[in-house]
Amino acid sequence: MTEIHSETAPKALIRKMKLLKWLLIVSVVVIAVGISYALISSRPNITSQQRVARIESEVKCPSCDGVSALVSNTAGAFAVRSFVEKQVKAGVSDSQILNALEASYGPSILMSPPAAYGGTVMAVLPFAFLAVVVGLTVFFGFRRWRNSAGDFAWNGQQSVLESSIGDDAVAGTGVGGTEGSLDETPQDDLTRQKSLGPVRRKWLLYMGALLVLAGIGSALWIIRNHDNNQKQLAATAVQAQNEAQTILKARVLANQGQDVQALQLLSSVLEVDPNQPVALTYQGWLLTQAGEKDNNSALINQGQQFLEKAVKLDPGYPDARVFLGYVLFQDRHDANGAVSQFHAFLADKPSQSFIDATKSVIISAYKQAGQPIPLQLN
Amino acid sequence: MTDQLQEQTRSPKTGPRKTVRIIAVVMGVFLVGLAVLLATRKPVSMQTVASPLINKTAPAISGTSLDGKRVSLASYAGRFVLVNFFASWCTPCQDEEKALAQFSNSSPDVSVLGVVFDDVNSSAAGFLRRYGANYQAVSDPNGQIALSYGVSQPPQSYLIAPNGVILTEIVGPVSLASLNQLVGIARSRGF
Repeated sequence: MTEIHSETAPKALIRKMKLLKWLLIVSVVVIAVGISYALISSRPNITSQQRVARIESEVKCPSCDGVSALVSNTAGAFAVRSFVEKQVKAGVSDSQILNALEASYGPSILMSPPAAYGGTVMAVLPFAFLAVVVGLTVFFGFRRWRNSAGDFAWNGQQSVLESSIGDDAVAGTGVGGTEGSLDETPQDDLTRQKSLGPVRRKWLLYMGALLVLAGIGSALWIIRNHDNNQKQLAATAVQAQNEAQTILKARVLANQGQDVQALQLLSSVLEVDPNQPVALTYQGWLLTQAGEKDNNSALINQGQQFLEKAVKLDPGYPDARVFLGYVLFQDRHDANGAVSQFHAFLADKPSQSFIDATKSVIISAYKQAGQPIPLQLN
Repeated sequence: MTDQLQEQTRSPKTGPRKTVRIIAVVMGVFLVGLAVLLATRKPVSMQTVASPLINKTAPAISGTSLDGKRVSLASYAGRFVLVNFFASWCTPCQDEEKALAQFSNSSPDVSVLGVVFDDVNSSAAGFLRRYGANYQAVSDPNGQIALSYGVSQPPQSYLIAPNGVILTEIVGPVSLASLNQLVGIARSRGF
């Protein structure tokens, strides 16, 4: 009876194990297909304008330092933008466009150039390290669990055996005799191994399935996140492009004396991005100019606030510094405050034409503050 | 018997512990090495690399010259050509212009082809006239020639071998001596 039971039980167990294995494989395949479908169907549909802006944001302006071709107004940036637009219209893929630029300039033309020393290896290393750590933890954890489970099963068997033998038998042999009869023999060890085998395999399968699902989940999360980042990047790039164009238009209008239209354009930029330093600077400058013309101190105050905000947001923007210096010197009669702004303006290395256009006022401020005139102004 | 039992019970414990220790040491050394490597290397953005175009066929140049004629790089085949990106507003371009004018007249198998970089054609033409340069210069209104050569700012020059391969890139002003030296080296190497 015992023999029949011992032969049929493993067969049933093996059948169950096989079924479980196939179920696992099928579920993994189903999940993989589902994920692939979800990823393909959820690919972001971006317009060609967004594509152009995204590519331009990934390429440096060739003559600038760390500024993308999207936001720069140099000749090199214009050339890049013209090239990208032409290529996108011609149906060339993003990677081909970036590769073409890389072929001329090298990887340094990209805003995020691939890492040196074998970029792929460097990118894979942390994941490989994590995989090794997880693998070792699982391995040693499982080993420890197996040992403790073995002890537990062996103790369980011992108690069952003790109860089946009965108190008399135990009493006959004595406590010491029972211990002696239950001492570990090679046959007993084999029995223990066999009894633990299916349990171990089952847990291994559960753990394997869990790891596979966790891996798929992580991959899905990473890819989704990447897509979202791409969408966000494209949207930000388009916004930056629109902002740059609007500010440029506003500056042109301001130069033509159409201050009201220029202020309207700058306000539209600031409505979307209240912390845009260039828009804040020119808004502030135009408002103080209008305040000076109309002798309206409220407008001058408002303009000064815009300029102060611009300086706070971008202390290295020379236009904001020089305009604030002007306002402090000419409207507030604060020569020392103006000199500190002019000092920062000159430290930002503005163009010679910009210095030439402003130097008479700057020199007056330095003289009035009783400070030596910087060499750049001579 | 007791010793054997003790040995049997000790060995499974000491084995994995030793392995874990070895693995921990190896990983520790690896991580320290990686940290040192990452901390000491130059950021990628600061690494300067030679032009990827060197030893490759020069990108095609064709367009209108400053005097209104059609110009193409292909018509210079069989000669050393120095493609020079310049602008009248660029101070280092003024420094090198005399050397370029002399170099273009130095030998029949050597030519200079100027490419206007972000400049008005009339200013560029006046600039060349001022230095007595009689070589052709091509207009590049959208900067696409400069882009295909990877030019960041002028002056930037490329010495092209008679077979059309770019031999070297010169960033900044050139001198007559260095240009003659470069051509001499190229000739000695069979170009």
